[in-house]
Amino acid sequence: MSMMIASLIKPTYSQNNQEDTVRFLLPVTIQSTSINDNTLGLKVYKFDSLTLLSYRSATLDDLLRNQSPIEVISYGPGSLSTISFRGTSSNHTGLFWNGISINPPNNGMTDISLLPVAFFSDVEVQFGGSSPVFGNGNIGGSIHLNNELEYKHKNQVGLGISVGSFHDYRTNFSATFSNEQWNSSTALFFIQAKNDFPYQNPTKSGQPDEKVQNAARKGVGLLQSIGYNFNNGNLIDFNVWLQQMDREIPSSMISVPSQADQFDRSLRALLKWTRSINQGYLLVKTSYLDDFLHYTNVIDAATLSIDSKIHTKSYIAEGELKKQITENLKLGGGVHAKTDQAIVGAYDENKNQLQSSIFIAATWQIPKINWTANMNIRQGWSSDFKVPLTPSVGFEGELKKWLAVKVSISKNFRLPTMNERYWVPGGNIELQPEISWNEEVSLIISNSKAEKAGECELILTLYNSNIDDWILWLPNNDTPDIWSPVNIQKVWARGLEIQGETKHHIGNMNIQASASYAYTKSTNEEKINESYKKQLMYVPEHSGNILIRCGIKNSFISYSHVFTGDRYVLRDNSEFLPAHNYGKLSLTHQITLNKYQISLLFDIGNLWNKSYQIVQNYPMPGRSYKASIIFKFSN
Amino acid sequence: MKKIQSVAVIVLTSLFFYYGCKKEEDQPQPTPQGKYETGVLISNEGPYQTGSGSVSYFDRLTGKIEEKIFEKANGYKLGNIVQSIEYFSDRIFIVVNNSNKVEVVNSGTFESIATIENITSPRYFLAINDQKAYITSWANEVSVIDLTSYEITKTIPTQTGPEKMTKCGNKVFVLNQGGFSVDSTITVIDADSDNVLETIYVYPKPTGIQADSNGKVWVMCSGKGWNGFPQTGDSEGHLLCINPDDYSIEKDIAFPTSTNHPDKLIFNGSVDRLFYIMPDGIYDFPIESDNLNNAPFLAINKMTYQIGIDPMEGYLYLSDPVDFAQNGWVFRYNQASGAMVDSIQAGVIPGGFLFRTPILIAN
Repeated sequence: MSMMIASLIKPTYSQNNQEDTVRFLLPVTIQSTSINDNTLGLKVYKFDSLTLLSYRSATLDDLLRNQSPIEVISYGPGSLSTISFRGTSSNHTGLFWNGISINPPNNGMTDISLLPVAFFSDVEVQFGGSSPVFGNGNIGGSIHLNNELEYKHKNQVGLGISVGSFHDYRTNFSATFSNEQWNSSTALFFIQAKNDFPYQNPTKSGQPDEKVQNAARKGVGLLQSIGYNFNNGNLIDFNVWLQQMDREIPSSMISVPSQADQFDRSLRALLKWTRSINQGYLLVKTSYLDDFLHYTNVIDAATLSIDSKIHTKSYIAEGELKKQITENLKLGGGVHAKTDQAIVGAYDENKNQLQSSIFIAATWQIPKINWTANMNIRQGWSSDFKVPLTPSVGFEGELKKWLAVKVSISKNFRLPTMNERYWVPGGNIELQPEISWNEEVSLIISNSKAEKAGECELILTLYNSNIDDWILWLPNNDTPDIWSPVNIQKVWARGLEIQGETKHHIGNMNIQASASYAYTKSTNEEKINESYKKQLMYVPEHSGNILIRCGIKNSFISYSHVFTGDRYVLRDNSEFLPAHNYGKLSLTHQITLNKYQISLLFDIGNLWNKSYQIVQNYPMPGRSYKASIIFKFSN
Repeated sequence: MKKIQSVAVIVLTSLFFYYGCKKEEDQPQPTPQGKYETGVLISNEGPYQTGSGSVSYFDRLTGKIEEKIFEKANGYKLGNIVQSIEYFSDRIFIVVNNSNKVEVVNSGTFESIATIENITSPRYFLAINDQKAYITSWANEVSVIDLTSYEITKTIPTQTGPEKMTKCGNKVFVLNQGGFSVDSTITVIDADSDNVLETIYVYPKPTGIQADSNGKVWVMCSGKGWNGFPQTGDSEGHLLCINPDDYSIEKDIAFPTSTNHPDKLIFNGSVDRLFYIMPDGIYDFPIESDNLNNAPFLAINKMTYQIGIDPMEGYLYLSDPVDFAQNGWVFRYNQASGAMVDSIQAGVIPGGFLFRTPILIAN
């Protein structure tokens, strides 16, 4: 896709090494800087380095669930976790690695419990529709994972070990060797967990105490990057991400313990060439993505079992050019092509698809009054669909010293996935793309633009999106055992988000706090049945979080609190999961001795030991503990 | 709702006990009549994997529906995928497929009596006598249950995916539907010795079985394939009438196409007219006939998931689970005229009917 991280497009600027010294930033930074200037007007979150350090042994589901206000739908620790933005579905969420979409073509969504936080130097969360910039599927929002390479003299080796409740053991290792020409970065992770936590089962007679069964996971991953800086404005890097996870799939507490198993293996390779040109850059990327999933479930050892294999391969090529034309006008454009191949047992044969697009972008700046406006247009083609032309306009401007405004209007789309088209039985070849119009406006009130004591910022966002031809899998009238996807719903998702942050210095203590609240109304507006005008399942109307961090010298204490309101579990809203609160306390202490740095971390998860469910009848752990130690040697 | 005439009740009640071939001599025992003794029980499967199934109680006299009566009476959820519900001797047996159990409750109060556990994917329950009952299981067997201790005393092997059963004299006929694949057999079990007497080869996917008023066993075979998803190798459905003594097939009526498959099979109160589901609606078939009707008795253009006949009022009950992710509906039709009587909102995926009769009034 056409995404470019600010640092990627400015290869000559040396970045601060965020891991050398923990910078004291807000847990999330929601300044007006967008992921790239094409997403002008949209809200962006970026996690700071201390947060990433304290989640170094975690997978992405953990980080996003605790530290951001987006909904992570999780079946439990180590189990399937997907993201729902602003009342949309998990297949409306883009997931990008160094600018490449890694959502597999068979189902268009990524299980974020498979993604190790330690592999990324940057994790950014972008809210709102962005198909004109990022392409297919980006209706609710997108997540951007990046591992940046720096070209300066540095040798660093790191080792992190963590031990947690429920037999959870994790190790990660990193090694970076770089100079002005070369960078070689290696990251490794191992994870082994039983996740056999106790819980009380309210669905059974006498509410017995039980332990989760069949929830273990074991995985290993490797990320290797090699980059070369030609020092003439040319920069080339090659990244390979290999990983596999073998895990058991637990059943709900209301069913018998399952014997299901899932093996995921993926290979992601990316070759990238960046060339600085006069007042701009040229970026060429090519990528190969290979995802393999093997699911087995033994219902009865002798007689009944399920064995399902899904293997997808994608080849991606992208080119992008951006140039400052005049002092105030920047123009950009690019091409994107992707071919997918799916070898899926449930399809009647191997399937291929081809998708391509061109896009242009223009950004105008009016420097004196600090106003910026932007326009994007993307036209896509597909071997199977008529892809709509999708435009967007964005605006960001300062109205007063203390008040800024952001506006974005965009048309977005999601193409039906290969499962939706080809699954036998049920796949529907007649499906049409989902189309959405998204609008949002944000007001940013701040008392200061500089990072200094007493800074406060408040962001108010109102958004609206209308998604047409929303696809649902429904049982067939004549054969209820077979489900088919149909373009049936019209979804109207709208809401209000309030985000406030403040930081203070009191003596030698730093205090930061942020709080957010979201009101989300996402309803089906098509008169199909009792779901008409009702809230979509698993979308809380009210949700919020609070993050507090105090630091004295090299010691930090942080607390995060997440509130999730009632969520309906039936489309007619006749049953709901009750609201829940989740608290997490983290202690961090850093010791620096010459070239060595040792970080000690201690976490208490579910501090208030509340019983809660994210997916109905899937238990979540009570209070849990985790201790980590991270050694780092830098030269 | 019409008031029920006691004369009609007596007539219909006697018909109800005739329901099943070569009627048994078990007389209704006079027991205190509980709250849930006389209405219609609807079992709702519940949302697949995540939610609980339930039982709804429909009072014919008041026309009121009461939801989740098991949970109300016992303080815990019924379990995942309530497959079927049966009555025997003052007890209700609720088969909970994905929880591998059968809940046994008092038929009047719905209070728990016992839980029969550790049956792999149980499907249907059939009482044999006061001492024992059979439960089909997707472990490809029939579990024999002691009705005093509620323990599994033995298992009887069947073919793949045993489902519905019917008892005819001393023989139990078990449909082997195939589970996740396709089977085309019926296992016959001697109800005294629990031995397999015979495996009858019929047509693919036997889906409904019941004995008629002449003591013959009727079997509906759906045939291979799914409605609306034709594939090569699909086969047509067959309606069979089997002699339970020598297992000879006395009638074999083939359906005209291999693209439209019949499903289910139920009899009316007098056990001489049967009904089944086709894509375009509900068809009827008088047992003396040799030809299928070529138009539906009730044309239905929405989903019919389950069908039942109330032997008391004679209404046809058709269930519509909508999208399986919200409360479903039960539509009631007049069996004689085919006119819709009313609709009842049930729970999630209404999949089983149990028609109770006011026995004490009849006595």
